[in-house]
Amino acid sequence: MPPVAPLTDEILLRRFADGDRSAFDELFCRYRSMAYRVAYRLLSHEADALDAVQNGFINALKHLKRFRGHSSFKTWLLRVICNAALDIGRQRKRDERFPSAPIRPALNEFCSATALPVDAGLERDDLRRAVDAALARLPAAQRQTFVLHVEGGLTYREVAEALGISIGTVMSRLFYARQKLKELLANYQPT
Amino acid sequence: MTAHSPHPFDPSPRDPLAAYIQGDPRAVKAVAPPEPGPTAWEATRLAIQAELFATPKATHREPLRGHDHRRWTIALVTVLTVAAAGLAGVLLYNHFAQPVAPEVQLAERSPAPREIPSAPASTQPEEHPETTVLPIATDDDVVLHRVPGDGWLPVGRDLLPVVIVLATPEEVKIDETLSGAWPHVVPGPDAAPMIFAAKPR
Repeated sequence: MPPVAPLTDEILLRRFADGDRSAFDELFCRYRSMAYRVAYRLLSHEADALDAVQNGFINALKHLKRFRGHSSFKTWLLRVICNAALDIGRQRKRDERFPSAPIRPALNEFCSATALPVDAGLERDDLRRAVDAALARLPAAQRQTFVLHVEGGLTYREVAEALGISIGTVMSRLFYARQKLKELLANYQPT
Repeated sequence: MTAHSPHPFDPSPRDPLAAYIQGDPRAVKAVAPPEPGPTAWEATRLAIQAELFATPKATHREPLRGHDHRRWTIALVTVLTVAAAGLAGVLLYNHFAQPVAPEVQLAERSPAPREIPSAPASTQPEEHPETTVLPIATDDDVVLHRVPGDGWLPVGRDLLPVVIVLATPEEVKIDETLSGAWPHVVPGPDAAPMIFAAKPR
């Protein structure tokens, strides 16, 4: 018996609009990992990233009327996730300025303004930390563009749609982001 | 929250960081952050579901008792009736009570009313909601590329937006020069006057 093709996003969204909870479960399962990776790369914090995923899904599905279908649901969702992550990032900065609770330690363990220090024998966690630290040093717009393209797997056109910018700007931001990341990660040599 | 990372590290990219920067899917997977565990995912899913499928809360209101409900109904009907009667009265009065003005024969006709010019149209551009706030580009939004040729990029508005009309030789009058400080003025091609600066001595 041939395998049943998975339901398309359009069908799931229509079912969700009709109140089908299983449609939401399927959409959540389908996009949660990608949404988490994007949010994590923007925030470098696991709990905040999970909050961004939660808020992003709620906003995206609550305001489905704003999704006119010009882009894919994935692009729309990632756009909302990015905005949710930015909101959480701003709130975190405000909390750090006026802390009412103990400040969570930042993931960026490198304080120098130049390239990151040499550290031989990187394992996987070190690689992740290096990437997180380097991404945190990018300007927000470049980081957002890079993360959506590399982690979210969006094409240039989809990134442009998600961020409301031109394809030329996407290419330009990616170019400068890659240059900066190469600079920051230049001293790392994998074993 | 505990991290949960099941997949092994793929050592195939020789330089995983460089490969990650270029968007190599294997490198992206290799340096992917650890995903939340099943418990965290389930909690997130339930929280989202609760928000999306929440039934609207009924407004807490004590049900009206029988006689209160009747009293309110009677009061409402009375008010509506009085209002309708008042409105009908006003309409009837306006229709029947207007006096008919007798025709008056004037000895002189008053001059024709002076035409009042209409107020000039506003010079302010019509405001549209989408243009009331002009978005300002940030540093990250502006990218300057090298301009071919001399490499200069004019920025700003044109100081001379209109077409410059050059004077003809007949329109230019050279006053008496100071001991030959002014050179001889000759018309150039197409009768455009050309003034050559004197060479410094």
